[in-house]
Amino acid sequence: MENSARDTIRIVIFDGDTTFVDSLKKTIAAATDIRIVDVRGDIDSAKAFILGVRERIDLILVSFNILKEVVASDMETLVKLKENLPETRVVVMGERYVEEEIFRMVEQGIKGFFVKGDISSDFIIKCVRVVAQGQVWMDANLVNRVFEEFSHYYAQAEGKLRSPSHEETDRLALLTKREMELLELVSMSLKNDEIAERLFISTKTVKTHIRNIFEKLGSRNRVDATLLYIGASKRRPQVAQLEH
Amino acid sequence: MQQPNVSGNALGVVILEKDGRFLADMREALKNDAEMRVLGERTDLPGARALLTEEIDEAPDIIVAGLDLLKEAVASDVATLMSLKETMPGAKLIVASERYADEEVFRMIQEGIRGFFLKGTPPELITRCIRVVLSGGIWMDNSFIARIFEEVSHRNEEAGMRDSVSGN
Repeated sequence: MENSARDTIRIVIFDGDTTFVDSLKKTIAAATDIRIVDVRGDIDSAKAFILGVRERIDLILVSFNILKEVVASDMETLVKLKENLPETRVVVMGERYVEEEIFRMVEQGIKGFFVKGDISSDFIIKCVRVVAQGQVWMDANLVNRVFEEFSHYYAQAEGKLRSPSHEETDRLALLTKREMELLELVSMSLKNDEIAERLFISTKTVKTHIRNIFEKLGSRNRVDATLLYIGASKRRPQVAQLEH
Repeated sequence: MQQPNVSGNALGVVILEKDGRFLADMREALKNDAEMRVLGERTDLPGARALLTEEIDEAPDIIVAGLDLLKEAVASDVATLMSLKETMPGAKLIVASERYADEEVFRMIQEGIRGFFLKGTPPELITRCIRVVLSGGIWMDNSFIARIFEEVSHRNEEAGMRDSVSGN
């Protein structure tokens, strides 16, 4: 059955390796949900495409060499890429795996990477589908590296995990009944839209309440506030009922 | 310090979870895998603490803990949790939950947790998760891995902005 225009993943290929591109075209032709919109073989025509594109492109498959050249020489094209195609995801096709280079690309927002010779046709199709759905397609080592970097960065920003003190849990008395209700839902890992639905209020109102809760409790984020709430409940199980 | 697992090749798993149904599912998942055995299971924090500090002699390879119980442990006594890390340096922690807030999982990652799955995950994927994490890999919901990649690229954008403001 034919896919509707909206279901079809629209892709563009930027790669000068004609043998590889021919085999890529054959591979993709077998997938009825993926359509190649354009193919550009050198940096100038790739740039011209990015500067002039007006249609929806879900994914760009770009060779590492072309991408490297664009990054090194032409910031304007990259800015234009983000302006003209804000929803478009980029998958890089490399000749080899150099972790440091790929990691820098991840920092630039690349959502997929594969080494041309190391991937079967089936997996190319799978990669396109996975990345188009909003997920990532990367080497497991790189995922580890990204997690380590993230962990390091987050630890610096948030500090060490600690249990709340009695003075901190006492601040719960500053919250209104509604705010306590909301905090309980935050402590159950509910997201803002889920809380809004449960309490019959708008997401904007939820955000306002949460901001006020953080301010009263001196919490920086949901985890801090959750730990205060659970810590207090453990010390005084009746805290929620007693205070309000 | 507890003794490392020496009884054959079967991996020793401890399950700490409030939800009895999930406990039963986990038990079932592990029962069908000859390479895994349950060393113990508890449904509350005091029981979990007693199990890990007094009742079992052998250090588990894996501790699967429910997010709710873990939050309670951190909220009430993070020091004990950290000391457990020292007495069982080889044990890996995997977290299971019905739902999650991004910030909670960010925190877990910061604390070195590399395994997280949603309740309802098929048994064969749970045992695969255990093996992946034990071998030093990461097992998380795909959409969450995508979130981490986004965070890393946003962080880069923010850093770029700060650099340009500060003139660095």
